[in-house]
Amino acid sequence: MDRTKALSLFGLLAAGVLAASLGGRSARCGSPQQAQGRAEEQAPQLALVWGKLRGFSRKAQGWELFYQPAHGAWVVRVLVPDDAAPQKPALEVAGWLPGSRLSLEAAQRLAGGERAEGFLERPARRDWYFSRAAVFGALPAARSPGRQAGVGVSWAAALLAGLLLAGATARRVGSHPVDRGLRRAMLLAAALGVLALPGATRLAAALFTPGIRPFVNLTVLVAAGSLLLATVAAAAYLFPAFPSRPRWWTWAGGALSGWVLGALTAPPWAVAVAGVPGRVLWLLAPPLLAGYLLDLAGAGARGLLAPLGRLAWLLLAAGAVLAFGWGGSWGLPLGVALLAGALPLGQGVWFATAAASTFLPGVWWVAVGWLGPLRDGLAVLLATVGGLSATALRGGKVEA
Amino acid sequence: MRRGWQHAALAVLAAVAGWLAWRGSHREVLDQAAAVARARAVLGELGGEAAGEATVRLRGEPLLAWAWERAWAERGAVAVLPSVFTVSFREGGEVGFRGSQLVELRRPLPADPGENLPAYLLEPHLRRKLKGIVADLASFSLANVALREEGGLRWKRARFSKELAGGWGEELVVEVAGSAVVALRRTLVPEASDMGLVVGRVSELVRARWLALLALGLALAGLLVSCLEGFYVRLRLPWGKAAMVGLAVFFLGSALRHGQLATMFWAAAAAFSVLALGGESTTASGRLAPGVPLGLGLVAWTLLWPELAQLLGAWVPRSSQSGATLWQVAGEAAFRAAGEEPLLRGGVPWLLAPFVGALGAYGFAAFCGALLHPLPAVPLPLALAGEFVGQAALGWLAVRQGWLSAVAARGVWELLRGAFFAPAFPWQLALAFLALVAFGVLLWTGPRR
Repeated sequence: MDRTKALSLFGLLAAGVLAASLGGRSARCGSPQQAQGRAEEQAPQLALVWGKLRGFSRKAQGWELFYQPAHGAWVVRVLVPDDAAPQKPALEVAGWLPGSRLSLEAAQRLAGGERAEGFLERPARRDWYFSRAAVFGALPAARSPGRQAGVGVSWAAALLAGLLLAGATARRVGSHPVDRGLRRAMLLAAALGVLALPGATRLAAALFTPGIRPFVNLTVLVAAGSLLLATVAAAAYLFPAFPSRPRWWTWAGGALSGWVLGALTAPPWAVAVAGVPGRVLWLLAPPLLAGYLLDLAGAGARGLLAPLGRLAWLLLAAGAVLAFGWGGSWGLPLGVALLAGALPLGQGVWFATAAASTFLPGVWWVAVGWLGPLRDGLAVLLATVGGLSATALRGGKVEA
Repeated sequence: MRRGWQHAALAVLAAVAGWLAWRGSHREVLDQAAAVARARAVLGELGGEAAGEATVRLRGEPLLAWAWERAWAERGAVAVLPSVFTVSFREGGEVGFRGSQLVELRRPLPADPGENLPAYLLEPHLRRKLKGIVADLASFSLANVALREEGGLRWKRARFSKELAGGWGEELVVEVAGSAVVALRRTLVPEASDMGLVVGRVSELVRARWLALLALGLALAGLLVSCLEGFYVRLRLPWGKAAMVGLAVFFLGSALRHGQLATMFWAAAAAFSVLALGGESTTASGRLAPGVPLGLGLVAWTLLWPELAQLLGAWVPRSSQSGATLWQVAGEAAFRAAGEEPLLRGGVPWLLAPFVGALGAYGFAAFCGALLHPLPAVPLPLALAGEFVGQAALGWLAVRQGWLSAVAARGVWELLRGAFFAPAFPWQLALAFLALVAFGVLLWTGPRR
């Protein structure tokens, strides 16, 4: 038995439990399927068909559900708070749909007497807008919160993209042996990713807009996702990772990093992933793909800073801290990429893969309140800890 | 054998050129002098004088025109909405026509606008005054009148409406000061589902375009990595040519008022494609000339496709109103040819061929190209089908003659199909010149095996 590793494992577990307790500040949420049931039973009804649930997003106070019928002429948005009744649905309607042109008085009566903010003349109807309500023709509904305008590309995302290009170039010009097993694993991961795409479209709720039929959106999303996955698989062939076996410390450090980052940040998109169909595929495929890409970016960072010698490691570590602290949502992958770049050659991909594999379970452990994701996250956690324990008990057999 | 193919190609080209010339004789043409004379006559009839130099502007309303075509297609007929051209006079006054109909009018307030008409006399006054100007005024009925007084002068706005077949309508708003008509606007009010279908299809195609932009963005990243690799290993790359092409595309896109991001993207795409293909590709880029005959063929395909779609029971718009001037049409054709073709017919196939073969690579590039500029259609996949055939033909030419030939073919195609719907463009002249060049190409080079 390797005592150092065994003791370290206890330390890592303690750190993980501490992170989970710090991260679990807010109450755990129910599933989007539960929210859907509550919305359809309890929410005030609109005088039109909602259609099918197309997507959902996690908000601070609950789930926001997006419904759209097959013809795509309108989108119904329902906010279902975790600890209150569902709110009145908001409506977004295509501008060309016909309706009435009501007077201010008539529209105010439908809107419950609120003060009007203005109206929009559509080609075949008039829409009135009030502080909390809207009247589309003669149909009252809650006022839609509006779509978030594009906020531009964050510096962390731009830097990550640049490092990916640098890493790809570095691997093309340098020559090193190729890990065929890893290449095949990447291809399999991409194939699994394609299977997860239809369920993943639930996360793209913001793309379902009135006037565009849902099947067109779904087709474009699945096609775009497949294209991206195929590109990553091709990249694994053209810019292969350095072949190497994972070291115990690399995998343990990566697993802990992912868990801690997930538990402490718990981003809303990761909470929403817990509710998509095919959640298990998200635990299998994306970690390897993400691990490869983050290692590629790390290789780019290492290549760019290589002329600085030992100072490069310091800069990479400092950059990672900066990214985690001030990089926003893209700071997490950027930080992991920089840490992967600071590791010895061939270990970055394992570090990043381990971090990606425990990130979602870390989020779900602190933020999710229904059995499915907790069970899946626990399975990943047990597999990771079990693997690390087994190698610690066996001794240093798998060291490179 | 070669001479046999040459004769066949010449015969096909002659047939295509002849058919295009016949079709061109039926297109909408703007006679600027006649338009100015008509405008002066209208203003004269209202008691005003159109003094000063006149300028003519064209305005395209593509969504309205497509909805109009769709509405008529549902009734089994073909009807194309003419473009709106507006004649503006330097001393004041503006008159707009759609085909033979007056659709807008503004003139300066006359020095003596006449006595203030009471509201009940407004309708008979307007029917008398506008009888010779709005030919079908009798079919309009007065909907409402609004009044306001300003400095002793009574301004009146009369709104007339008229129902058309299929749920469409027309609205005529006339503004009168005193008893002088000072403004008029005639608006076509589309039926909601006809307009909704066109707007919806266009929105869906804009969404589908993202897929093409994503694919081309990834391809651009691949070309960038290849060029960096080439630079590192000291390959001889055509930096000068690439920079010139990139700058030319950039300035052209800026002059055409394309968005900055789009302009930079296509400039980078052209530059990196030229760089990668010029330094690392083993296939020759080809020559421009062989593209001209295919370009003419593609124009004929574009004009025939809506007819074929109709035979299949589907609908593809026949018109494509743009309101573009001569230079805008020419500039847009050059921008698409120089910006898109090096990437679609050069860079993308070069990157993809090792993975999916030449057929797969050029086919994928053709699919991306079709997604970039489709027209709304029913059913939706037909929007891509017609464009895909044209893009695939460009891919075939690139394989046979090099990607430069595809650039020329695309330039000819975009120039003539854009110009066909630009009434101010001397289309027949351009066709005659390009047909002459195409004949020369076939006679001098001949089709290769």
